[in-house]
Amino acid sequence: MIKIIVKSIYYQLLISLRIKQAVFFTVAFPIFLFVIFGSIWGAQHDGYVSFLLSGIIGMTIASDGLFAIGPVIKEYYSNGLIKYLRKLPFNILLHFIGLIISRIISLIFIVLLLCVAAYLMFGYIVTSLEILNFIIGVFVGLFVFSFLGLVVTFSGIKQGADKGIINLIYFVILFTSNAFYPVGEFNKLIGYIGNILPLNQILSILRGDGVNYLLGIWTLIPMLLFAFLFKKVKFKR
Amino acid sequence: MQLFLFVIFLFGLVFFHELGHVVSAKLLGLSVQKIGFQFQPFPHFYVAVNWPKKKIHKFVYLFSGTFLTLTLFAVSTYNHFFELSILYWAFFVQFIMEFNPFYSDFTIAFVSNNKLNKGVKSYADNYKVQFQKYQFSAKWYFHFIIWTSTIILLIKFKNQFV
Repeated sequence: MIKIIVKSIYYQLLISLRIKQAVFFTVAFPIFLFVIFGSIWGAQHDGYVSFLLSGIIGMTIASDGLFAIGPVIKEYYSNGLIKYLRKLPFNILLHFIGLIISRIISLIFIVLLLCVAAYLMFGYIVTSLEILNFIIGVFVGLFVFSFLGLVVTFSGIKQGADKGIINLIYFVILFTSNAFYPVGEFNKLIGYIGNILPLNQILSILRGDGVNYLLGIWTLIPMLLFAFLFKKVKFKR
Repeated sequence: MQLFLFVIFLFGLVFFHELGHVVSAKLLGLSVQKIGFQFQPFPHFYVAVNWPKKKIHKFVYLFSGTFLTLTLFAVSTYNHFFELSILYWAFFVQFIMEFNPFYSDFTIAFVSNNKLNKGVKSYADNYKVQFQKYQFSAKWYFHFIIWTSTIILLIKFKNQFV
């Protein structure tokens, strides 16, 4: 079983590396944003580099969870690949476990790359406690945003429109959050909305600020919703 | 007022950039077909010429706009014009647009080096096809890194010297 999971992880990583656009937006773009924003504001404000580092990690976790899990699994069902996967001599769940673990590995790799960029560009040394917070944030964040992505893609929306909706959700979550700057200091209403949405909860974990009950809600409700929708949805090919 | 000045300076830089293309076209004997404005892939002015047959003429024509912008930047630095900081930010935005790896004179120069595709109806269609092969390639990432480095250098230059 371990051998099957390892092979599944390997092939999922290989597949993701072949989609050049995905590699750019998952690896190069977060580093680009971090380096540029850090250069503009990092010199003037102490602590901004560490604030931005956790913000960019949170942004990457959200985008990976929303775009790399739900739509991919939906694609398996709608193009009939599930039928073939079920015929293989191992449990289909192992394939999905491989997909999720491959995303975790890729996110941890990006976290490490960002930490190296923080040191090389700004001389900022990430502590072991911060790395632990980042890893916990990766696991929790990927869980929350994966189920959010799954809820949208399995909600019965026309194929193609679901990607537009996920994009909208992602940008609303991102720009109301404290990923790049404390939004609440500029606009209290947007700050309040951001505090309700899940990214600020994940950012609290990444920044070592603890969790509140809202994270529990964002963990449970999408999971239950997806379980309900999965039974209801019918796939047209 | 600051925003108004920024827009004026940016339009001025765009004007000189396109003027660079027009002057180089005249010097190289290329006939200027049109000076226009288009919204794709982002709103920008352009100069359309009969495409140069020689590679060196192509590079001179394409890079003449950036050469003029760089010259203006050097002149502004030497004469302390950046005491008006909004002028510096206009240059900053102009350089980001001129060097960007998504659509700029540089991407046109790199992409048009490749062979023409059979069956494409226009240079614009050919560019789209060639750019899709170029984007996210090793050469493109090199361009992207140079662009990012340019932005960082401009930020550091502002912090240290302006």
